[in-house]
Amino acid sequence: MADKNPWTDGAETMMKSWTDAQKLMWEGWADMARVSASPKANGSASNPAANPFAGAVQEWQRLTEANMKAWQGQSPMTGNVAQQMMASQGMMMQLLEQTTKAWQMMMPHLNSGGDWQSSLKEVGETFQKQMMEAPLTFMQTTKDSGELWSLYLKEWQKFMPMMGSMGDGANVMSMGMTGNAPMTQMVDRIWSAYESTLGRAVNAPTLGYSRELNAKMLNAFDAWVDVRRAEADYQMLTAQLWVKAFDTVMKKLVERAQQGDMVSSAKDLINTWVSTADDVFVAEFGTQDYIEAQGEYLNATMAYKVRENALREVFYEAQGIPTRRELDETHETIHGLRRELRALKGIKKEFAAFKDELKEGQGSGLEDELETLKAELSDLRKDLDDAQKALKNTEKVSADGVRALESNLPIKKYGDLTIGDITKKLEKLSGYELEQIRAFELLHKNRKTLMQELDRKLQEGA
Amino acid sequence: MSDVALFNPVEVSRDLVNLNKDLLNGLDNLYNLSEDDLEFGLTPKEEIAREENIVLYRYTPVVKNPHPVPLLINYALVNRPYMVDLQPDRSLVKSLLELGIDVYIIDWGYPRKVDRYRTLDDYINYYIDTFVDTIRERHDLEKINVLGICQGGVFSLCYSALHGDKVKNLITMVAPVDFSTDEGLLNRWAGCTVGTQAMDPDLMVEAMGNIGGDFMNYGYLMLRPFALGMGKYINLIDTMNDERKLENFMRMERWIFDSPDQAGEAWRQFMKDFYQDNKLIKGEIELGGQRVDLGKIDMPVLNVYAELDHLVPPVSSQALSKYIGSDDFTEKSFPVGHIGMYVSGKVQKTLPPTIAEWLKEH
Repeated sequence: MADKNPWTDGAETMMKSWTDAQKLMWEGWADMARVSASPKANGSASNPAANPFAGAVQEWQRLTEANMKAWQGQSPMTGNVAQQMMASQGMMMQLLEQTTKAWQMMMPHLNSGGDWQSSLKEVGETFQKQMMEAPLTFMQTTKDSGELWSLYLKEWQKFMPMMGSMGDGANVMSMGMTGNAPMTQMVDRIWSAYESTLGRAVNAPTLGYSRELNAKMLNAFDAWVDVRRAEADYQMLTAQLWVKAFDTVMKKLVERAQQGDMVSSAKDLINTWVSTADDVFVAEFGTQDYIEAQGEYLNATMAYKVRENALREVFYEAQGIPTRRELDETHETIHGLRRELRALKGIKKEFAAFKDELKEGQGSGLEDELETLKAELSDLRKDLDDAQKALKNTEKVSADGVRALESNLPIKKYGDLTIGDITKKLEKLSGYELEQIRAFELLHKNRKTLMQELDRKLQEGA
Repeated sequence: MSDVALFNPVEVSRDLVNLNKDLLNGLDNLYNLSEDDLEFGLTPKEEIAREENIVLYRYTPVVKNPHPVPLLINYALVNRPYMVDLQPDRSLVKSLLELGIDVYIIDWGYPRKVDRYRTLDDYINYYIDTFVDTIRERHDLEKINVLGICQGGVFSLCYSALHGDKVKNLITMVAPVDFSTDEGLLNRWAGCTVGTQAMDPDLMVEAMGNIGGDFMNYGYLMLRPFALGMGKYINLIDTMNDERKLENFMRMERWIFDSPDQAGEAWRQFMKDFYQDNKLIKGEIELGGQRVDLGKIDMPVLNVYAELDHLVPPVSSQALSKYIGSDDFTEKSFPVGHIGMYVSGKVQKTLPPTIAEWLKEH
């Protein structure tokens, strides 16, 4: 037979202890029934009759704590679920205890048709008072800045582990919800190191370095006080919510009881609790007051963390430890480089695509097109050559013609003479000869001065 | 004991004792459960491309001739994408494959501190675009089909508005469009009504860098604090002796708490521009210097939403039809919540055919 696992052993022990607790619980019910049946029975919130669940709850918590160690080394996920189940069961029993306590107080009035609502109100007020004890104490403390400073320094002594409580929004908020926001635990080793190095500097405000440190510490202190105030406000609001949920659940149970629909099991009771309380909480969660209180708490926590980071960096820098800011700068640079790299990859891709396109182009008719173009170009060149030859022939024919005309002009070697020479020779020419010269000049060089002189001569002759 | 009894104390205490005994027995089953029993994402897939820690996968087709135009699934950044393939009998992907769709998916991975400066422009104009190009090249297609889920739906809308020439058909599933609705608690907490008074994204990114997955999860759990924080664990006691049901619960539990951190810059922009300033429907979102105009979405669009969605109120998804330019718009709803879209047995029978048939018709 295989060895039993540690949990199975523990569970067997728990089972035995739980069976014993069960007997006590039933005996408790019997006692309670006797008390309730007494005509003098009239419990109050501050002095309720013995509650049979109370001992069972304590026993369950003790057993849970003792046996959950068996889950160490198991998959974290199963361990977490086991822890959550045990805690839920514990919470369920606490709710049963509270419900029973309230019922004890309301029962005589319910039976007599009296004012049970006042009893319920009394229970709610007691409940609220208990839940608001911590935030109210803090609110009282805020009047004494010296005490606050002392509290803050005490908290800073924990230095590094602060991150665990303040940095994680989930932890912070969940602690606020449960009304249990413990100061973070002291880590002696780190605190000793701090004291022996920079701790002294905090107490020496005349040093430049300490002035900076003190300024940052005071900044952080202010933010820390804001967090605590916001936390207290949030806890008070949450306490009111709990009371409202409790009141609604109890009224619902009374309503069911009056209709003869008695709660039949622990699960029935707890499911009533869950659905009713969720409705109350969710409705309230959406209100402006709640959103603002939650936002104030969250934002104050974040503002504190920013200042705490700034303060912590002073220590890190002094110790030669890379700071968060330096890491952020590095990460920002890396991000910028990544983007550049992507851009380059994009260019490379486009270039590759262009090359592919070119390659594809060679095999898809471009070469033929090029050959056609080359042939056309060759034809064009040939045409151009022919045209040039034709032009030369034309020029030659034209030159011969000019020479023949020139030889018949009344002025010999007309083409070699200057305008002045020609003008002198015009004096001896007849009108017909002047017309001959004018026509030749017009068709060939068409020189303005000479043309004007010829026109003048012809007008004189006319 | 009393004439008006709220409950029978003996019965309740006996029930409590038995419940606790059941719990102790059931935890024995849980204790013996190993990680191997909780495998997820079992549908075979192949890595096609990788950009930093972001991976494009292709699920192996199971029909001989799948639909010629592949489908790319863009999941949200806030949870892991294996929700679409949680287990064989709850797998949107498996069903789509069986219906002949060729499916790709982007796995956004787990952003690290070095990814803090990753922006929405990076996500949409680089990673999505690069992977879309990869698929187009592989299939020698001008356009492919895109399915965006939740926040991934928002990304897909932005992508389709900017790169419409690469998207043949667009499907959005439980995707928020009008962020101003105060019907959703998440929208209010994110600041849709009071802006930074509810949450200051700049301050949060300055303080934390990347936004922790635990923080996000806390917000989701607080939407139903008693049911999600206590009720479900107490109700689990009833099913702990059923190995299959316990495994199903644990798979879901693993998915719920498997929340990647959010890259600071992208988260900042998403919270401010989308949740707080509702810029998507105003046409004021800018990515890489380009304005996102939903009116440019002119391809056929199928919008799918969950009628009981408490994370993305139906009214937020339904707004889509008012802002896109497409004249081929279809809308389908299912009577489940946000998560029910992936895990409800009934929806798993009707949602995949709805998607596959619509794609084949377009």
